[in-house]
Amino acid sequence: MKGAKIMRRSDLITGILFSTIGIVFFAMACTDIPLQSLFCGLAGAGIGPGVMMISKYVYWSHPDRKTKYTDKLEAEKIKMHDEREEMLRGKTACFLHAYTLVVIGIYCIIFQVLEKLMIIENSRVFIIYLGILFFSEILLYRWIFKQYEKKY
Amino acid sequence: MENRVEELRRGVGMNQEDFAKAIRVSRQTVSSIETGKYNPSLELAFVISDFFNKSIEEIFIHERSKNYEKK
Repeated sequence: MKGAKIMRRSDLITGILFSTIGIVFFAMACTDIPLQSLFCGLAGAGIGPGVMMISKYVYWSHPDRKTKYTDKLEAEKIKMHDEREEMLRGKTACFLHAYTLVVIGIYCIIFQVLEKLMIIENSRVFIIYLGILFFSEILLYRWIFKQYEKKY
Repeated sequence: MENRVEELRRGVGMNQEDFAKAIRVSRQTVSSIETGKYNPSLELAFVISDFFNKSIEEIFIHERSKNYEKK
């Protein structure tokens, strides 16, 4: 059909690559080496999306589903650039920005109190990490704001 | 802000889904505009007015605030 889009072969290759890496990690997790849980997690992160990508490729590559796939892509594209969706995403990001700053501040206090009560040690590392998060969020917000001002 | 989008859409015999596709927005956006929950951007307002071949003022009815009215 003219104008109908098909799934790219690179999607299949990426899926196979993800699955293969996942299987390698799973094989490593099955041995008696340390960090087994980490390898299990990495195996899941590789096999899960990999199988999803392969099954998506197989499903949408069927000739009968070409038109449906084209419609799906078009709908996704529209949704991505839909101005109401963009506004809602912006509002969500704004809320999350404010929320994260408050939560980080509270966590800094909690860590300091826990260290004073000798429940945890080296809270300074956590606080430095949270401080970096705090300031990077503010800097990122200012940078985006400047970019927007330059653009418009 | 009130608008005549639903009335005009029905006039051309289109459902929300087809109209949304034609002006390249989601169906939910069309629904929100029609119910007055969402006011479209100027750009989208122009797209809608072009689609119906009418001016923006004919589609979107804005009650001007008395504060801004010229004396």
